[in-house]
Amino acid sequence: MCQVMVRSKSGAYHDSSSRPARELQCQDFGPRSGLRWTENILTFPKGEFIVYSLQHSGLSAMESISRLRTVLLNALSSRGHGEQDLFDELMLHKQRLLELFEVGQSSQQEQQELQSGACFTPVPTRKYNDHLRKNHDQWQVIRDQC
Amino acid sequence: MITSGRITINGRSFAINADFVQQALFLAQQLKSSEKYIASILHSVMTENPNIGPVGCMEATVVEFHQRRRYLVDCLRYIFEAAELAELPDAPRLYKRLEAFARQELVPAASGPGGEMSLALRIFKELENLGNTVARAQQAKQCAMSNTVAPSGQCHS
Repeated sequence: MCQVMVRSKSGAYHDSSSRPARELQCQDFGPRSGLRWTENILTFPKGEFIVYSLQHSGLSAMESISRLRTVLLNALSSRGHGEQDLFDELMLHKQRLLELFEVGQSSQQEQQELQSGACFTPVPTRKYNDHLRKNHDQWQVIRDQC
Repeated sequence: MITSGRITINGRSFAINADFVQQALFLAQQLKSSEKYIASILHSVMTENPNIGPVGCMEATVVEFHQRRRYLVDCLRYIFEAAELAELPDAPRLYKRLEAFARQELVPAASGPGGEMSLALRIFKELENLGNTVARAQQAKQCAMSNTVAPSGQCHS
């Protein structure tokens, strides 16, 4: 999965849909999908561009749950500041809240699947960690279009 | 799907090793949870902490497993507390919106991995299970052999 949309400072969108990320987030993915766009400004030879990358929030579930808790606390303690952010987060996490303690059952099938995969030995060193972080970003900026 | 030393977590493929598998199996057994769910937490802990040993990794996984549950319960508590206060005459708009969210999105029964079930029923089921959980924890505490070595020598670095 790798979806990237690049927008120049002038506001032109460089993707096939020519729609802003927020619209895409609403129209293309349900909140249960765990998919969301993130916005970053990157500098390229031809100038600065706003790069929207699609990320799966499920991978860093802990960070994501922790963020929901923080946004909720902030909104409640400030009596409504950041209200829209809060409801975006709530819709994104609705399924997780509903499932609550449901973490699946231990099963023989999953045990076998795990065991059948045990033949490769990468040690999670700092280098491996950096490699993973790089891959997590999932940016594939289409330079020609910039 | 896990084949040839790779595990697929949330749609992404990662390489795994024998220690990882043993740790995930052991933790899933102890925490009475899906092996894949535990593998996803263990993987995230290892990625965030590349330099801690196997015992540290397993302990951090257990902590994160419980912390996720705790944070989700915290969120629900804040939402329902706000929903309760929404009935007051001068309640802020945020409380009223949270009450509407709770009524529309959280209270009705929803389908999940264990079939269609309401959130309230899910919580009651968990309360019922607490007795067993406490008994297991008590037994594990009394039977603990060592604080520093993973059981059965499964987790050598």
